[in-house]
Amino acid sequence: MSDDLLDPRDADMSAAQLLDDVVAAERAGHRRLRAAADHFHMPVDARIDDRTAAQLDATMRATIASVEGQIRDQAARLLAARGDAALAQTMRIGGSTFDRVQRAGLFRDPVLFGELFARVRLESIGRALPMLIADSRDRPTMIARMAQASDRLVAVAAVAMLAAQARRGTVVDGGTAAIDLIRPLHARVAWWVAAALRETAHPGGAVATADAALAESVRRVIEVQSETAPLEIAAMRLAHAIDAKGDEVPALLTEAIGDGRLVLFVALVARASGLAFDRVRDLVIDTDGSRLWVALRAIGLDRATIGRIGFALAEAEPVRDIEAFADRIDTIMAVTPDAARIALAPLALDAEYHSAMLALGTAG
Amino acid sequence: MIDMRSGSGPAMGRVTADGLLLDAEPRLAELNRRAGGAPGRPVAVPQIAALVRLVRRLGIPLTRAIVAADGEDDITLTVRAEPDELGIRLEVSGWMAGAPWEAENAPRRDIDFLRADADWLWTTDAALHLTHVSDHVGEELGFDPQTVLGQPITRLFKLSDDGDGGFPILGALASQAWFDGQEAGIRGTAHRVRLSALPRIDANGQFAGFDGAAHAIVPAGAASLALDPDEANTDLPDGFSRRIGRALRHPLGRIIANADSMSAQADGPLREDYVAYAADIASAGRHLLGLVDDLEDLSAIERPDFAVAVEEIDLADVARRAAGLLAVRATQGLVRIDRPSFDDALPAHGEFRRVLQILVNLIGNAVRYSPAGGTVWIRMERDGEKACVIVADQGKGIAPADQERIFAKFGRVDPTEVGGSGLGLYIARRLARAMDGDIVVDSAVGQGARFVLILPGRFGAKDA
Repeated sequence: MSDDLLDPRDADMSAAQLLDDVVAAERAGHRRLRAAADHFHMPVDARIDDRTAAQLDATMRATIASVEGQIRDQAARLLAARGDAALAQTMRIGGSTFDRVQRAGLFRDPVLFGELFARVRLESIGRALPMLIADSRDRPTMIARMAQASDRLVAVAAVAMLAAQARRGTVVDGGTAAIDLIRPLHARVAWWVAAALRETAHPGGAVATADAALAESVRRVIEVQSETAPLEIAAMRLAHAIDAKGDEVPALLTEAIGDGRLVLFVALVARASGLAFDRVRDLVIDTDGSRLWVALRAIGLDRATIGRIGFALAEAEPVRDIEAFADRIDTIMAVTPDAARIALAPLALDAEYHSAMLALGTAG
Repeated sequence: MIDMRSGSGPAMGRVTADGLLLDAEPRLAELNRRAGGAPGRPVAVPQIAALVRLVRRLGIPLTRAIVAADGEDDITLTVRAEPDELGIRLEVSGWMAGAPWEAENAPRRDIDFLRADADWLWTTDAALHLTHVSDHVGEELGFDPQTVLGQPITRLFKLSDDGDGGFPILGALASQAWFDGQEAGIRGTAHRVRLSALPRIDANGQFAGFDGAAHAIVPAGAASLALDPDEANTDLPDGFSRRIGRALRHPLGRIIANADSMSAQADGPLREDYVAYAADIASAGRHLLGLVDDLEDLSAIERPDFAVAVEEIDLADVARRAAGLLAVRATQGLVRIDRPSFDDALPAHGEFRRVLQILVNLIGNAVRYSPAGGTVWIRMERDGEKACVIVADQGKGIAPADQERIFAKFGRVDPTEVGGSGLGLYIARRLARAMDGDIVVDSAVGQGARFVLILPGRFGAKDA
């Protein structure tokens, strides 16, 4: 009873379809061959592993699905209110726009791709980190303690971060649920999805009505989304609210990493070092940890804390060479905070300036 | 041999600053000796030695779960190495024999089940402060998640005792175990939930909190309205198949797709035996997916409102198509299917899709049980107003005593046999009966089996 059954009465139609598809398939085959060649010639360390690729794909799909759902919903309501029930219904149904926007190159945008890629990497590292709770077991975890802190700013920021994490979905929820991009990226995705919806809706003569409804929907969706802070921003706000002093930082970082809260870890390092969140995140997801160790020295971390962080990251990602790290820890500690800060100075520059320098090959 | 299966307390050991084993409690000493080591020499278990080297260089206590070979066994150990003024102190616990992947993946698997079955989810830290509640739930149940996140669990749940003054969650907390059946009210609302949870254990073996699920408790009065009144008659409630679908379909699909692309060597050449493993994985995945399909079929046909369409069909034509669909499988099994000729016709009433499903099942079984070189016959017969398809094989046959059993749910004659869910014939007969027909069997041990699908005929006065 379990065989995949193709209703044989559909067979003739499928055959005709097959013949129709031959030309397209030939073109696609040629394209695939070129892509295969590109893939083959890619240096090994530049390849994305299968697991990351799968998660990235899922994240991109979830991004489109959530934005698309919001826009469809909003547009259908607008159209229904304006008495265009037929178009409203068309807006509600219809296939996903994912393939359309992806093929058209939405995710080739380096900023959007970079953001999603970095999130996926950080999340998969965070998930694999060995859990290690602080010694006194009856004490709530750091984030719960902060949520109850007497400092209202800290308490509100900690709760906001937990709420942002819940919106995004956690491991127990089965992965990424909703996508909370920062406003410019969210807006870009929303406009692309709206343009794809315009195509699939086939508004015919009602194209002006459809355009007006879609444009207004996108603006509203962007507005609504802007009211909630993405997890990364919530974490930065918390790090600012805590405003950890030098000697408090090691314990906070150790606890954040032991609790698998890598986003908070990044925010704490970013706050302590004065670097932007994105820059620190790039250091953390880089399996060659050199820049991260220098950044941790720049904030004056002690040997034991750097050792614990290095060990935890290597346990999470065996490709990080823990033996080489252990051999280098004396060298890492020999870097003075001042020297480390000077070495990292380019990272503190305006992001676009820095990437322009990299492009010209003059960085560092 | 020391019994490693007990999973009892830790064994201590001491290593000098330059990595030589000074002394160790018997179990650890024995493991080290079997790995070729001795007191006064470097630690011989490679994974423990590697951790010791790391601790010497990093100068901090480290814990790592390792799998060490011990004779023919693999044992899972948690090794903690801590530097002190005398050198390095070792604490080796766990001592679980068995497949390491089992030990590692069990918690993830348990969480999958927890998730598949839950209305919503929550987590706490070790001090039972809420660190997560599913995003949608506050709005649905009417509380503000911001007022409970980070707060003690009792801020959200008003825990109820189990009638004897006990609280399942507290028992679980004390023993760091899972719990189920903890009832609670949601504060500030009229909602009640049943809570279950799994403990999270950190790398050092310390309790780190609960990963929990909440199931809505529908008040008794509302339950009889909300539930389909007849659903209680089935032992697979509708929600079950939905959950099965949710929990299994997606991962199985991924397993099959990945195994297929490995087996097709889509990403480059693989060693032959790995190709075969991948093919095995894909086929086992398909088998499981088939079982999921069967369970969903089962829950559909057991619903009292299950109905089939009555279409005018040609039974001979359906039988030919079914035989065609199984041609490849038959060829692989060196079995010949003797299908009805294109001149045969047998008009009947039934739903095309369902009749095809039944015949694919009957012919598929016949192919499976046929010896190599055997033949499966498909014959058409008219019996008064009834139209019959006979599927006969040359397999080992079915003893009269077993002939009813094979139509029972999960019924199979030989429980050790692989393949099939034991649901196929049950579903086939239910479908046939829903179409005012039946399936009967006629067989004797050693003489093959004859299955007859009977459906209402569609014979005009001319044929009668």
